[in-house]
Amino acid sequence: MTAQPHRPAMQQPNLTDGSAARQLTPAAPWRPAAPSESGSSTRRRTPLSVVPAPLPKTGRGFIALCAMMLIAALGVVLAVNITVSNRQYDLVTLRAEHTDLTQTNERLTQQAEHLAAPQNLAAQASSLGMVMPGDIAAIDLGTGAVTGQATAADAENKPTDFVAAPSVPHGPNQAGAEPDEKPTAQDEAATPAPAEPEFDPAELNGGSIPAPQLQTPGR
Amino acid sequence: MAHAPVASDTLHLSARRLRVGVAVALVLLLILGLRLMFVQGVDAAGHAQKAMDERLRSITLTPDRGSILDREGRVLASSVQRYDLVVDQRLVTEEYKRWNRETNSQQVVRLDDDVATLAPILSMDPDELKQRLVGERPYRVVLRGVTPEVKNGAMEVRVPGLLAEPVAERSYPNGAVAGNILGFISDDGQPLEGLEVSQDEQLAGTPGTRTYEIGRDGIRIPNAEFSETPAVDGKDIRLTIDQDVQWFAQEAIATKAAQYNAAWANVVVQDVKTGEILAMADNQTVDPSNPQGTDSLFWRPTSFTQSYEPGSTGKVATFATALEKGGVKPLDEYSVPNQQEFEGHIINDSLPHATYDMTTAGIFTRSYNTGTVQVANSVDTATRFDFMEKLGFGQPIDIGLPGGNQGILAPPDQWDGRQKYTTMFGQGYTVTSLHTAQMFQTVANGGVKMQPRLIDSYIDADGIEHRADSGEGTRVYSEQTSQEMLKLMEGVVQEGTGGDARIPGYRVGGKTGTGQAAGAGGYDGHTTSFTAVAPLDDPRFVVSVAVHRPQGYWRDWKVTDTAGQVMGYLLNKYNVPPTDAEPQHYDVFTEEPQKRPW
Repeated sequence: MTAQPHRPAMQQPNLTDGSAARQLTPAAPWRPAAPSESGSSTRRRTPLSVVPAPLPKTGRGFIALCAMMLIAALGVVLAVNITVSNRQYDLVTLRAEHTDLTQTNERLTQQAEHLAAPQNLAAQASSLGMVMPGDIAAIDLGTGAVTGQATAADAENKPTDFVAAPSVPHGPNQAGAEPDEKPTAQDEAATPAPAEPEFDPAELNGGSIPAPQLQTPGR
Repeated sequence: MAHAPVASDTLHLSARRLRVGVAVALVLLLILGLRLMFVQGVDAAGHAQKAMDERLRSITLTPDRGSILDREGRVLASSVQRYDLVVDQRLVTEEYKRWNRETNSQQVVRLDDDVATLAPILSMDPDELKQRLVGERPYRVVLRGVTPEVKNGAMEVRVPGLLAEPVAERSYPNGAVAGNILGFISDDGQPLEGLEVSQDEQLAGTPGTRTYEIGRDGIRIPNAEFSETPAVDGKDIRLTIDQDVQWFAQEAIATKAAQYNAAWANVVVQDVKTGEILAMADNQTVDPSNPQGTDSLFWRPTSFTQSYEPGSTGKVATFATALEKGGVKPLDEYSVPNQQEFEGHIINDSLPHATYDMTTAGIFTRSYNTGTVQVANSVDTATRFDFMEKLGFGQPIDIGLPGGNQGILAPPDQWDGRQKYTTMFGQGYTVTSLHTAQMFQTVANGGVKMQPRLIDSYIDADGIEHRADSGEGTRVYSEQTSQEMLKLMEGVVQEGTGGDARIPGYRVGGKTGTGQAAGAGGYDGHTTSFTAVAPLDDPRFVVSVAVHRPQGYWRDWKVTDTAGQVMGYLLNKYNVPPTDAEPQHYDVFTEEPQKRPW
């Protein structure tokens, strides 16, 4: 009963019969699965039994998952929105800080420019005792030739001061002059002016500033 | 069943209540529906627009005005952030309530107390400050152009109605140095003078706009409508001016003008090879931060706006043209008397002298008029005029500044008989100091005239430089004429009237001149000048000095030392090494001795 009827090879339809197509190698004859070693006749059939019906699908888990995802998505959107909004406030703060720094930078630049104005430099140099230079000489580094005759500067040849120092419109608030009374006082309190260095006569050697230390040859 | 009618009544009552309730609800719904219909149906767009207008803010983005830089990129003019403090006077009362941040409570504050706090911050008189705060005007400027620090200080006081409006203020860190070239702008930002006016198009930039929606607290709503057209900042302008040279020249010329109590005096420094102007100094210079403090004559360079008869400086053109076209050689011989008649016009020299046998160069060195006419007669008037024109006399010089003076040079057919001769020695026409510098530059640069340059380049906001093109040079004289003229000029410094312009170690040439200055009733003053060229081995700089209406006796006037000082400074600053070369000027007299009385 278990033995399947053996289908003979000739029963295979000749697919190419009557056509011009080349005949394929005949397909292997269909065989039933090889009978088990023990012999098909001896194998016992599994008795039929009642299978418990599968649990009906409620879909609750899926809905829960969807809801969770939705809530999570909403949560994320909310969080992003809140963050973006808060960043907007941060942005305002940062922008204010930027403006502040820009203005400080601007003020300091202005002060530097004011100090670097030629007439201010000349006045400062003059107050330090500097005078206009004498005649100059030049050394040609290629040939070693010296041209010109350098002369000592005249101690009385101070720069004139016809060009007034840059004026400060709108009172003392303009850069150049001290920026403000309050910050200046604070600055001074924070950084005390360096004490005027004092030198002994030996160091000065007759001058007003000490001579630079020279390295003694062979030391 | 006895209760049945009662129950029926109750049922009836609640049904009626229900009906009434429903009716009321329906009516309300109808009203809402109608309103909705009106809002959404009748004028939907209008209402949406109104809401949008409430939220939408559009602000103008002000571009930064470009800076003006000197040739080494040092700032001569730039814009800085300042604030105008303004007040809505209607909000300022004698007493007002203010939230005290420390005690967290409302507090009554007296205006006088706030004024007392505010006045020292603004460096203002308290009475004046109060007067500006109190009144009926909705807008009143309290103080213009305060620095951010002062503004922050003032805002801390929290006077009601006091606001700070940001404005850009022009800063001129060098004050009066080059102020005549830079010009200035008004308090409200309108350019009024100098480069600020003429280059406004380049400096100003293009404003942009930003549009965005704001919430109730004034903070921008993110992700809402937003658009921005960025402002395009103005271009920076780099000049050929050297602020150090400009300052030195201003000091030097101010010293000279003070010495002779002159009406005005100026110095022009030009690079021989490129035509670049390194300085245009006046004895007085406007400080662009305070233009009212200076006479308006000095709001622009006088070397650009004031023309005068050059006098003997003009002989450079006469001699160069004679050498170029008249077949004259530097050592040609002339008999030069004190006074000589030409076609009925008697020409004489400024000081009586014996009749000398002189070279062409000697006539130039001693600047004798009688000899000059003899030299000049080697070319015809038309040729001479042609060369004067080629040198730029009587023509405007475009250096990018507004309102220059082109001088007066009438064509020869309009000259009277005398003018044929006076033009030979620098009278009968007028030039500015810039014209004179240009003439010397041409002669010193191998005869090639370079267009004077003041604006070197325009720098875009992104840093790309565009060189202001001034074209190729134009040849006016030959190389040979140029070389000969330099030796003629050296003679003036070595043997003639320009001795004080000598600089040890360098060969210096130049020419002095004293022209008569015309006033209301004829000639009533003088303009004395000297223009120097150095070093003659390879000319680098032209320094032209002019002093208008000096006081005192004309023979005492001397501006050669000023030119020498400025030239010495230039050679030093630009590392031009001394050469120690011997002077190569020509002999003055055909026979020895060369030293003879004037």
